[in-house]
Amino acid sequence: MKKFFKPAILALSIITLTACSSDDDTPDQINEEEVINQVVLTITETGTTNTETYEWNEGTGASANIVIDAGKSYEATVGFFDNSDPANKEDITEEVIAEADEHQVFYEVASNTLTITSAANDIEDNAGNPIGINTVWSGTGTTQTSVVIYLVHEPTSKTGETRDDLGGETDVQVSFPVVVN
Amino acid sequence: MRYLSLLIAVLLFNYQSLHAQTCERILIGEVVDFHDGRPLFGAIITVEGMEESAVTDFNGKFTLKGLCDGRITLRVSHPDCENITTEVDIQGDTFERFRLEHHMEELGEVVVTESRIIKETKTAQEQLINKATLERYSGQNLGDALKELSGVSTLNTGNTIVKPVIQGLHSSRVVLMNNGVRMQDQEWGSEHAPNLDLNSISRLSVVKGSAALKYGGDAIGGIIIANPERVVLKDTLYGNIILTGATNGRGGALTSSLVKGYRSGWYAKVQGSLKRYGDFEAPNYVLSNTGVFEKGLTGAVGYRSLGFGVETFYSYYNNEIGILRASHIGNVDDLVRALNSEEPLVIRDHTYEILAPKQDVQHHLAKVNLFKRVEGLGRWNLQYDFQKNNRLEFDIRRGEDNKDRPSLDLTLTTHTLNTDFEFDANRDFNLNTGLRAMAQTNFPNPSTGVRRLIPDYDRWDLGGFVTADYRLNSSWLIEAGIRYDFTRMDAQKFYDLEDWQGEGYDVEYPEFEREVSGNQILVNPVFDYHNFSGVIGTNYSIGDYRLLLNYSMASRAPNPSELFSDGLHHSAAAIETGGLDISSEVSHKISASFEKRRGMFRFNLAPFISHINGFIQLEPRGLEQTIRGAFPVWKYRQTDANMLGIDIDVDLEYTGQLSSAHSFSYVYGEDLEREVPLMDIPAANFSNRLSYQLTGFHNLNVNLRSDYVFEQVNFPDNNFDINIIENGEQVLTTVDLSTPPPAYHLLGMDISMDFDLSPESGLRLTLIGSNLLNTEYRDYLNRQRFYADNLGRNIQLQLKFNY
Repeated sequence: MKKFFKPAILALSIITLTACSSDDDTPDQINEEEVINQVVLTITETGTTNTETYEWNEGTGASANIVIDAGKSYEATVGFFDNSDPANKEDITEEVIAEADEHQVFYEVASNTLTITSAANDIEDNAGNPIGINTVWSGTGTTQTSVVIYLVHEPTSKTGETRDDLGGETDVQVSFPVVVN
Repeated sequence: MRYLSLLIAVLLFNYQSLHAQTCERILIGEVVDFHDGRPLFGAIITVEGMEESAVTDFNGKFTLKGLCDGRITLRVSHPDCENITTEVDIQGDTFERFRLEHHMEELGEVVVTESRIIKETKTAQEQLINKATLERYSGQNLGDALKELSGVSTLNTGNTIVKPVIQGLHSSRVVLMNNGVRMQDQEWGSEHAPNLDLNSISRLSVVKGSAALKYGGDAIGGIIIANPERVVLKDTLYGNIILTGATNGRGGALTSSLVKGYRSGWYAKVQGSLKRYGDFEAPNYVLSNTGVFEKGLTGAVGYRSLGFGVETFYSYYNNEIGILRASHIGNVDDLVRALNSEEPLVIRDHTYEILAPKQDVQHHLAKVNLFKRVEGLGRWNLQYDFQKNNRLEFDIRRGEDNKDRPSLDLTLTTHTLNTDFEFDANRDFNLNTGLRAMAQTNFPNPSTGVRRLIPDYDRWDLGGFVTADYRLNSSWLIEAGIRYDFTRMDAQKFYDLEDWQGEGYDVEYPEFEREVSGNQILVNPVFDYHNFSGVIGTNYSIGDYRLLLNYSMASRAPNPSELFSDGLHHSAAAIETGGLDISSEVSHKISASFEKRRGMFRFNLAPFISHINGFIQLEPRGLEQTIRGAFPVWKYRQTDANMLGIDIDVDLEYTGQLSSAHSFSYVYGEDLEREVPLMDIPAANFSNRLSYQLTGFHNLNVNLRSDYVFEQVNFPDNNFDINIIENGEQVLTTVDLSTPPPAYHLLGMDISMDFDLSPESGLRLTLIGSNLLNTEYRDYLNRQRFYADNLGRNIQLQLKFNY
């Protein structure tokens, strides 16, 4: 009988050893990568240096109403950031541009008083599609509206009238209130 | 000697008196293994008093011609089995099945009744799938094969991630035993299929409920017991190769096994399989990125004699599984888009390439077990097993560095020691008692750069059980058992500081807090669970009928997902969070089984009713607005639940050739607190099979199969409303994740034929067609039902070569 207990003792000691060995390790903290928690919209009146910056931050939302004058044209640039550590803010826009083929920024306006088109200096992907980083905004009449900015990953189409036309996965979906005066 | 002469005289008399009648009757018989119903090849059947004899083929079938009506005495012998002599009534052409005790050398005991050996429990609902049926599923997986049984359905993610559901319950509520080892393969996840190669097993039984206490007291749903083929103790070398090709998925499977046995008791076996499919197809489109590449290898070396046996076993399993591309979405708006679309939003040309999203799982299992028979007392078993399970999940990620970087990388390492003693020397009384100790470590690799879904943890289990059964007389048997399990969970987890405080954990569990670092807090929750389980049941047999009645109580400690999960679920666009205050759930189940087991008309009615205290389930908890859009939040919560259901099986034999089998299952579950039906309960289903068998012509076997799945009408309303911009305006839209898909009907057929190549080798050809009408359908228990239809028509051709 005695010899049969040997494997049992061996197995028990393995269990005991493993159980003890992993007890004191403290796991490494993971600071989530690939996070986007800030969208920054820089809007400059065409032909001037009048620049306004609007932010959308995770947790607090849009910083202020975007105000534009009817009849004027504005050049807008969108930026995506990881602001988890404000001392070391990371610009994700660069990654989006580096992978232009797989990304598209889409603007959905809740009213036809505001039009947003791709700017001449917009970034293009390898197929020549402007990806919507740089845009031109213009408004008519007097309205309070909103614009939803989408960053779409791996869109099935890079052109379309609505968000549905683009397919793909939504990486960013933020809404900015807009006042057209 | 005098008796023998008398017997011969009687037999001779019988023979002569009967010979005067028409003697053109045919007896078709089948000789199967007592334990697993496996056909026995090479059994010799002789009719006493006649020169007629027959030998069984590869399917265990034989035919005896020129018999007369009346009673004959048959002697069935097989080199590896105990011979039996039995009387058979010949009334016209007759079919009869014979069971031989195949492993008597190992068991060294006299088999008294069928139920004593064949079952894992004696009074609970239990069903078995035989080897021939399993082989038909060689190109598919475990879950698909288990669906053959009434009351067993599957929870799918596509068609390659298939989890068994027993009477409505799955995941941690179902225990899977693989060759005596309790699988520790992260079974808690609804998208984690069992890490087991179907081709490595040759017998599969399902206990519906927790009554098999030996394997654990927490199997609230049930226990699946998978075992490899046993090696015959004689000088032998044999093997087989099964090659399957399938039209859907444009791939196939190859499996091969080789067994070497020695009369001395030593044996060795090795088995390997490969499975490779490209994108599968629904009736109208390609299911893009659903390919699969599965590899399995098992090997065993052992020695077995009457009194002592030892075996070492190792198995390796690796599966790379593509996840439907269209099911990987960003937020709820994407989900609404998918729901509104008839077709998946991503359809590409067929390819074998498997891209993200995908899973890559690996499972190593090694064990050593031994038994020692103590004369006149029973049998002592000891087993140590080691398991290492690694799961990689790849999401669609941004950035060049992340292309081949998994988002989830969990390694679960488990050591288990089991010992038990079976006191089986008494014919009428058996007692089994044992202990189990387990140590487990989970390591989520931080190099993913994604917050851990499941934290680092160590888990210890210690359990003990006693079960006994007592046969009162030829009709009555009673069974009872009790089990206790201790579980300690010791985890280390980083919480978002806001979440930790938001949940009130800082007040409830200040002792767990270790250190705050940035906006995260490291905590060290340690939980102890004490679980009791028990069973009591009875078995009453009279003539062809049998009644089983069983009460079982099961207790299950919460799994790591229920306690700690914390993150975004991509295919559901949902944030899922666990709860630290979740305690064990306790189930009380009463089940019965009323069977008629012999004759042309056989049936089994198996109703059950259960009450589960503290039933753990995911519940919707509103929406969370993030920079990615809105997400529904689901939280694990406990409630009390009632379940009831019935499984009905009916078998009919019309002639020796023609038979049919019918089964129906229904289960209903209710959340008693919310007063709504439980979620993800399988719909009622009705299966019918018509079989035609022509043993004389290459053992031709034709099965026609019809499966009707009703629409699930009992479901909770977990819908929610979100604002979506449509035509420049915000519209409040209801996201319907609750309504089950409509009923569907599938037609299947399989044809098989055997060809003898030489006395030792044979070939079986099988043609299997499923979803023959190319029906478009979606199943309630498929997590991809929001995105795509289920599989379209599939034709498989299978070649099995025995040598």
